[in-house]
Amino acid sequence: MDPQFIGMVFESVIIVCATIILVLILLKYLEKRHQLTLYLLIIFLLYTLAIVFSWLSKVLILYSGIEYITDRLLPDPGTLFSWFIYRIIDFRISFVFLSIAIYLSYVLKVKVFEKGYKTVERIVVIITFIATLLCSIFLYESNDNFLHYLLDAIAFLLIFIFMAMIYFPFMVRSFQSYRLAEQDLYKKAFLSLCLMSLFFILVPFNFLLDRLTILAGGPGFTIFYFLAWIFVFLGIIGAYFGYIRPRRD
Amino acid sequence: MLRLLKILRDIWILTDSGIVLFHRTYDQDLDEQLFGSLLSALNSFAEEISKGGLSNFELQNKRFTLLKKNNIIFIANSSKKFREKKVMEELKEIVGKFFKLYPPQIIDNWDNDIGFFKNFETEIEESLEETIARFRKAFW
Repeated sequence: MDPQFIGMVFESVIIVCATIILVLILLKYLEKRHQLTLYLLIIFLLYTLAIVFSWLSKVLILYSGIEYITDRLLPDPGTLFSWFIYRIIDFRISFVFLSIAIYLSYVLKVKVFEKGYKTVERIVVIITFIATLLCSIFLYESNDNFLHYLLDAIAFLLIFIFMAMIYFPFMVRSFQSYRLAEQDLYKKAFLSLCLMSLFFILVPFNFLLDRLTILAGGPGFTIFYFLAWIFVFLGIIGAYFGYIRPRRD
Repeated sequence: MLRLLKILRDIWILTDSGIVLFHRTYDQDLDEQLFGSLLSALNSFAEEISKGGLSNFELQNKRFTLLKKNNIIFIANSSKKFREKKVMEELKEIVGKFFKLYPPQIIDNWDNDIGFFKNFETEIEESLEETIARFRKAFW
């Protein structure tokens, strides 16, 4: 069976899960009408869009019939349409959504765990955000050569670094709160958020490993690819138990 | 780098005479000046019968820890589950931050306006209570 097809099916399941959590967050926002809930809603909307565009890349490769993407040895037609199509099938549009979502996760982290921004930290985060965003779009080679796979791996590496930069402190703060909280309800919620952060970091990490196998000459769709999507699923479960499930009463 | 304040819940900083210079409390029902006077009186009484005064006392599930320096009394409450030593460490951190921002010579010339100490809140790092309060408002 075509690995692209298996990937498409796998990602369809994840889209369903992501849509469910998105609806639950929307309901939460309608209930709370709080700025932080809105941030969470936007973050998960962007994550879902990133997954949808990843899924779309497989659909395009499998069913669009566009020659230059089914046969990567054909030259880039150089049109605006092909510019977008190439960036969709190589996950660059997904990365744009991911970068914005990660940056907003940083804003959310500061607003829930801290009193305000630390100037140096904020500058570093903004620089990394802009670098990741721009590299995702412009550091790109459409032709099927070593540079294409190298830039691909660099893009995945940048997303992994940015994700770890934001979610590792989030994980630490959640774990500290888990250890100090007295009520079971809060303990479980903070532990879920801690695990969610860990799983979110492991997603780009596994995708990066999958890309490195491609760079080394492999066909891709290794165990790391599927592990990455499993971590997306686990991260969604963590988000559910961390943000949605706990109730005051 | 300043360590995160996680253990201390409510904090009062008062003069020998019981004037509350600063307080951060999560229980809004309490009159801080009345509470400050009570604690100051309690500490004075303890000093009469024991040279060192009060270092801590317990009420139900809370422990109140006191520390006196430069005629200023620092009081904080915390859960009884935390070790006294750990609580005292955080309270000492508060004391350090306070005198860094308001050295004793400045306090000596203080004009009795407690608004002068309002900015101290920003010096105190985030507490778990505040984080939970935010999560409760936005998500739980």
